[in-house]
Amino acid sequence: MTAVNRSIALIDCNNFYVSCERVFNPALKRKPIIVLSNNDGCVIARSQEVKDLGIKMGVPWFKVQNLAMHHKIIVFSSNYTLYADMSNRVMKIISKFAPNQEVYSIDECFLDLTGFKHLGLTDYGQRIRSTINRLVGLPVCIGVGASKTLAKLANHIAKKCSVF
Amino acid sequence: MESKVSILSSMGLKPESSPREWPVFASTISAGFPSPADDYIENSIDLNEYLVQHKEATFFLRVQGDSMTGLGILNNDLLVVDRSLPVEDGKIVIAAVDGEFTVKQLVHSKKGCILKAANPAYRDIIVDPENDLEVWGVVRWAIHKL
Repeated sequence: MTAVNRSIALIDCNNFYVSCERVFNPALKRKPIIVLSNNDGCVIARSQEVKDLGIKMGVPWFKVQNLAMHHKIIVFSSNYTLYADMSNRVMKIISKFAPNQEVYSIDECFLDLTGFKHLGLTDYGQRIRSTINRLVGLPVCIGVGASKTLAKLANHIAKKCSVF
Repeated sequence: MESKVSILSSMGLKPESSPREWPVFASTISAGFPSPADDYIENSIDLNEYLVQHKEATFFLRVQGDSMTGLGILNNDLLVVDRSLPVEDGKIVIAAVDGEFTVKQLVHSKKGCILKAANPAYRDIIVDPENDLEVWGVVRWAIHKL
């Protein structure tokens, strides 16, 4: 297939595990939250508040435990049943926006939007975002580019600039 | 007890669950004398399909409390909540008020938004701008054992 004029979207959920926990516990809104890996070994998801404190992805829990207590960070063991259920819902919703979807991980997928340009991809992307948010309560970011790599890059920019 | 709701840990319908169909009898049930024509089956019913219109947006919640008994929602009921339904005046909703879930009837009034209880023993919640209100979803069904 030629790469000319393709429009690929990368859609991924923001702080996915943390966002899942927040959907079912509104008291967690705007609070610093960490989700730990199996057996509570490492930090595998952080809310924005935690990222702002400089706690890195994948860091062993014992290394940041004191810092977490000091900042009253709320800590969860991972609940993969919940995350998988929410992931299935999100992927199903996204699949209704275009026929060609590639689920890339639990919280991200590529969607070929080449045939949807006439609708305006910014508008279409916003529609995808608001639909996911309304139906399952999860925030997502979308990047669109001529290839998967560029889509990933655009998604990264979308994450950093809240104007989108 | 104020009616709070807790989300069930297994919220999703099992994706692999095959439709379970049950026979439906054609005539409606009269509360009086039983009809002699009841003895045939018209159709079958799949309860998943009957209760869930929009699978991706449907969640199950458990009620704790009796503030909504006037509208048929009892303590310990299972609620089927559909987030795809439009939030309209008079609907029974799951609302998050200042970080806590509650089930109430949403009513718009001159005073603003009111979360109405359906039990005279409870006061309505009048939402003022300082409250953090989020309507989480619209309640579609309340299921309780008779």
